[in-house]
Amino acid sequence: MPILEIKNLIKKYHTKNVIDNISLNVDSGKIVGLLGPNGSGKTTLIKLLAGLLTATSGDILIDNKEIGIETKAIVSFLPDRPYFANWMKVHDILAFFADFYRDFSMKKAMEMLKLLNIGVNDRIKTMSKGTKEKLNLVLVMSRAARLYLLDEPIAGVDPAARDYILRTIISNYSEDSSVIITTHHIADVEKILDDVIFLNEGKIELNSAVEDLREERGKSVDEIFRETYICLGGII
Amino acid sequence: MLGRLFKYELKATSKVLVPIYIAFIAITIISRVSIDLQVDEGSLWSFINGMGLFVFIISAITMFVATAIVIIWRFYRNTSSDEGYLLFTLPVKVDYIIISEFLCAFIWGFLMSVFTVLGIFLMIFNRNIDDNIINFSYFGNILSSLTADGIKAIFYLFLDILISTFQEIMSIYCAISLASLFNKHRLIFSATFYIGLLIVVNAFSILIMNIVEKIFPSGVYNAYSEDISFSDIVTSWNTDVAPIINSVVSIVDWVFLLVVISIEYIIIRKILSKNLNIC
Repeated sequence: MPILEIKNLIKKYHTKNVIDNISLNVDSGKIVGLLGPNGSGKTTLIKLLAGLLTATSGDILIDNKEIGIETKAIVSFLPDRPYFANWMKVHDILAFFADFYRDFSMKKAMEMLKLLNIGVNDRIKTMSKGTKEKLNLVLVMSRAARLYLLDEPIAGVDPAARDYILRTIISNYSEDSSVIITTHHIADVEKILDDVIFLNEGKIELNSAVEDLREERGKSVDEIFRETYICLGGII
Repeated sequence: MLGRLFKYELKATSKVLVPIYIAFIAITIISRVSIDLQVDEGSLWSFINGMGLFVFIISAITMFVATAIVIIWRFYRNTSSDEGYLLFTLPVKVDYIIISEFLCAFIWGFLMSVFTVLGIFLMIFNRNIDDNIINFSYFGNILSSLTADGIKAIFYLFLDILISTFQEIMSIYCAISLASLFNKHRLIFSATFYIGLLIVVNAFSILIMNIVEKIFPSGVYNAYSEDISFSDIVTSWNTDVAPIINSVVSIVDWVFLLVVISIEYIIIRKILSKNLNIC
């Protein structure tokens, strides 16, 4: 049964369709790479799923429910940039998540913070961009959500942290849950992906299982991505 | 969930406003003490006296401006910037988000008003210049001289200020919400929408008051026809002002403001639930 169903989704800004009549399903237990060049509509699609934008037309169903309070309770969203207020300390944001999300595990969060050497009394204001991103990921992955939406989770961190983040993603999702990841670092991520979706100018160029793609074309996802977007005249 | 949202909103705003409010209280006390220390009529003491009053006025203005900016900025950040990512992905009703922001804004507005009034009271109370007028017995006399109508008018006036404050906050939120529908220049659009709302609400208000005046002329005329001097302010309040405040005019004004608040709330709710546009 799909955890996510999208039917004829359109998001229009002025006269331009940023998401242009997309339909797709994502099954439970899958890690899906949502890939595409800048401006292809990846972040817009993720924001639509998170309920931060409203679709111009079409349907989005998460666990068979329309976007709303019920879907927000089972979706864990990591934005492309940290969203914490500077006045907060780590313990403030932990308490915030524990207050609002029933599926948040303080124990899991504390374990991950310890491994990443982030103290509960550390101030958000004094953190580097990379540390903020790690903290954001810790919070998002400490929830037992049904659908994780990770927008550029490894963009601003060093290679060692990148590996840790990918391990965290794999070890924290279950058969009941799915993960959608957008990224430009395809080579780093493709080893954990089950499916890939290539977006270009708001349309789906390709939607396939990673294994099938490798078998059919005899190439890595990274190579196929580069070929696809060079053929389309995109800049990657 | 409403309580939790309110708790975090209060915490976030407290970080900025509590130090400013404490500074205002401290400045008021220091200013008052510096004035009380005056031992003669020399120019140095006159200067200190004037400076104390000046610093008090500046700190009161700072407190007012800071409160207004924080109220506006919090709603703007929560509906139009990264911080909205946190707020609008929470599994809570949009109504709770609006109400928690609104309550928090109102509480700060209320505290600011109370501190300002207490500050003014502290600054003028038993000052040498009006030694015979502004002291405890003076306020005691005022209270005992008020008629039932006078007390009712004070209550009505307080209620009117309360509803007007609600409407002001809702107009600010409505303007910011309308501006969030645009992808660029949201601050400029917010200001434009706010001015627009101000003009529309005031135009309707004047229109309604004119109609009320025609229907109930006795309730409106002679409002401020007599010169109200400071010494007979209570008499003037009881006889001239109270009948107007207690008349149908106030009730029409409240109904009108409540209708405006309701319309603005519906617009905000519609935008934040159906047309959310956090870039």
